Amino acid sequence: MIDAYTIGINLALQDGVSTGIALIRRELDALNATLALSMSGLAQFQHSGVQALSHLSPMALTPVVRGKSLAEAEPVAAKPAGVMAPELVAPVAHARPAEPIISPLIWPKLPEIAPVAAGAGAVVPTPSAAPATAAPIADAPAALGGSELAMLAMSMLPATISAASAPQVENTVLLADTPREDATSGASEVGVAPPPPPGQAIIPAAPSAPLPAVTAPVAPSIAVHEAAMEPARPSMAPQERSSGSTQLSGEITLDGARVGRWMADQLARGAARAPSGGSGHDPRQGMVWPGGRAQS
Amino acid sequence: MRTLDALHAALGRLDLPAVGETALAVAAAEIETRVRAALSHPVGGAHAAPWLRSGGLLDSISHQAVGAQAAVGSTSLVAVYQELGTRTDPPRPFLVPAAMAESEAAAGTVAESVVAAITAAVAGERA
Repeated sequence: MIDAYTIGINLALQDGVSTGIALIRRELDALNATLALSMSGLAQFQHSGVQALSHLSPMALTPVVRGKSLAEAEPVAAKPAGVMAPELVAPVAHARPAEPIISPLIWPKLPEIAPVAAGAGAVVPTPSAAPATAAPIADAPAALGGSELAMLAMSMLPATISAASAPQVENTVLLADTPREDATSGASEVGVAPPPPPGQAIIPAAPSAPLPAVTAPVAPSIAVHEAAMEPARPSMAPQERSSGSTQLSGEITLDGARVGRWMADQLARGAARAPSGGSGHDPRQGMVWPGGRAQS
Repeated sequence: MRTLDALHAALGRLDLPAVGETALAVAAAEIETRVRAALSHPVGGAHAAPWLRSGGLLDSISHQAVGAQAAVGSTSLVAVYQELGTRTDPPRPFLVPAAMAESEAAAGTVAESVVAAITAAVAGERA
């Protein structure tokens, strides 16, 4: 084309757009195939779900009403006073619904203590409940009184208590045992004894004042009760449980830092001191005076 | 998914070579206009570009666009003499300076044409 001119300028278009569009079309083809596969799979899954749901009975689809356990737990407040004071039970029932969510880890010996709450109404377990052995455990908060549960939980607090189950136990303890200010004042005032061995019957201590129907925060109260479980100490400086300093293989570390250099400095200072004992002029190196006698 | 199919079909119907040829023709026309402007200096003016005496050199300027190529040039030998110079006359270029000055605008013209074609194709499928 440029040959038609004696002189001129040639323009050439490098078409990269067509290549890009062809690539986009291939990607769209792949995307379409993937989408078609996904939609067919989804339709098949939906069909299977409809078939599975059609086999279920209407009773299995009925939602579980947890408030029922609380309603059946109301007779607990009318128990004889020998078992538990009524004024202790009422705040517990109103403050927190008796949810059957207690870890079986905390209640390994529950059948031995269950006769304490024999007068309480039995709670019907839900159809979707756990195994048969766990059903009475889950119903225990509704069947037992709040104070009994509190002391039971206190006695069975092992070192391996799970964090998820701690709030359940702690709330019960706070509401049924003593007010919060009593619990924070120390073990001697609360009167909580060290945990008895598992399986031993527990009788809760009578509180000195009626309980407020409040729910206290969970996390701080755990520390309070752990401190209350320890024996009382006289008033003195707090004892350090771990000073943080250890001596390993001749080296001293304090708060994670080596202080072995400090010891080396001490040794260097000791070595740099003037030697003790006789020192100074050696008379044997001196001049022999007339009439003198060389020392041997 | 229907939209993706439509987009796929629209991109398949897009004739980018024809769009590029048209865009190149427009760009070459713009460059030709610039070259003609460079050959329009009156006699006695700045002599860095050829003076307009008879108009023969100006009339010899044209452009062509075929496929992915286009050209702007002159069919006169005077254009070669003016552009490159002779033994007695210094060069007074008018093609290269005009092309350099118009290159970005020409590239923009081509790009806008391609984008407009793709947009129109996709919008037509949506409509």
